[in-house]
Amino acid sequence: MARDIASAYTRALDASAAADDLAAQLEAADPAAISFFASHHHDGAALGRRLRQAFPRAAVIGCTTAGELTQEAWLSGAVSALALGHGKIRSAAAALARFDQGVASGIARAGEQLSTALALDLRQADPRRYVGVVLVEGLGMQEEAANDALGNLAPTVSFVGGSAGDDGEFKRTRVFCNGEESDNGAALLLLDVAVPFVVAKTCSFEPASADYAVTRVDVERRIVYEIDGRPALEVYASLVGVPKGALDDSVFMAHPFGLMIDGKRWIRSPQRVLPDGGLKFYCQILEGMRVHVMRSTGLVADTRRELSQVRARLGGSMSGGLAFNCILRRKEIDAMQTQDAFIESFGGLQMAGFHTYGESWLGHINQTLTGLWFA
Amino acid sequence: MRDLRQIRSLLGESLMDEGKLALVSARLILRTGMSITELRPEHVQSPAAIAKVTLALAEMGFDLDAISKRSKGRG
Repeated sequence: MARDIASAYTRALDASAAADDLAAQLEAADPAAISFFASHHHDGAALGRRLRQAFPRAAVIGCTTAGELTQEAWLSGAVSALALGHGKIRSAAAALARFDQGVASGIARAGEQLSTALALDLRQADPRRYVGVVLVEGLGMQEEAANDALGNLAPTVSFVGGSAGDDGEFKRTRVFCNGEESDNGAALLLLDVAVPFVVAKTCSFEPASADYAVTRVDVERRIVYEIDGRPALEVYASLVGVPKGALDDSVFMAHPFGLMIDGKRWIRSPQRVLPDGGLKFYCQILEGMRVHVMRSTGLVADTRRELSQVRARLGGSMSGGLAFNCILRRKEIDAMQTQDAFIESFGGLQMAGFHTYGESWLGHINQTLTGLWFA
Repeated sequence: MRDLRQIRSLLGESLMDEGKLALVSARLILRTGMSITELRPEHVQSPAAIAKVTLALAEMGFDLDAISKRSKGRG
């Protein structure tokens, strides 16, 4: 009997060997859809083609990473994968959105392919039955545009995922779809799900300050210049209690900005101080948004709590899913040496995921774990 | 001009599904910084806030005038 869901990983570097190793581990799931996450040293397109040969009925997407994950392993330079079987997925379709002629048009074309393949009007799709996965190239700062385009196309369907990485080199990231690849696009997977599922996000932060209005920004370049009409660096340094000259990665990682709306936390992480006095972020902050400076609350405990809540929302039965974990969370886990504890949070599940250059769910977010979990 | 309460009400009538409304509301938060489910008093009748939300909804394909006409037609 098929297992319906299976995770796998391999340390093989050769694409064929890696695909064969994964295929042997995933076969029992009778895959309808496969998501794989490979180091940037792998030939992901070839790996995807080989997986399609092994499972011709499966839609296959993937991307390069800043590290790979399963419920058993914290990996680097490897490949992780999750197969969702026909027992869980009625039908699945994958499409590659190429951004060469614009993000919106690329997403629209890919959306048409998904719509045709599943014979579905995306605007009318039932969010309790359909869910998407989106893997976006991670260096072109086009995640907001990609998520907005998905929202314009299918406003009531969740697309959850993350931005491709290259293990911190920040040179080239790629996404893969049914054996094709792009370093300027997004891989989309749309699932018609036969079992209960939950899209979830968690971040381990709480407000450490009152909220302040962001008053001058360069949205496209993700730079904040003024907060409450004062220089952003001055305000931020004062709120975190360090001199402006001491603002560095460790401060940014511990004290991102957060939008607190409807009781949910939407994290915006600073990236670096610019010579012109701007504070550059890993995602956009809009003028007029009110943000808090946040403080850490305990990443592993919060992850466990979130997974426990997801299990409860699924009626107590949770088989596994996909996890998209921010590279900044990876750095925090590395610094705290809590890799084993983090991985143990997923014990008993079939999980595959990767460390991202940003997370997606309805928009682009930072320092968050987004996930798609199945009963 | 409609205020944000009226916009929320129209959107709810159009979607007729709390789950769908929650997803569209979350998208609005990320596009505008404003919530239509937990309205801030200073946003409710703010022309700038209303314009931002109306534009974001239009981009997502929600024509509030058309929804309003349909709603009145049903009423």
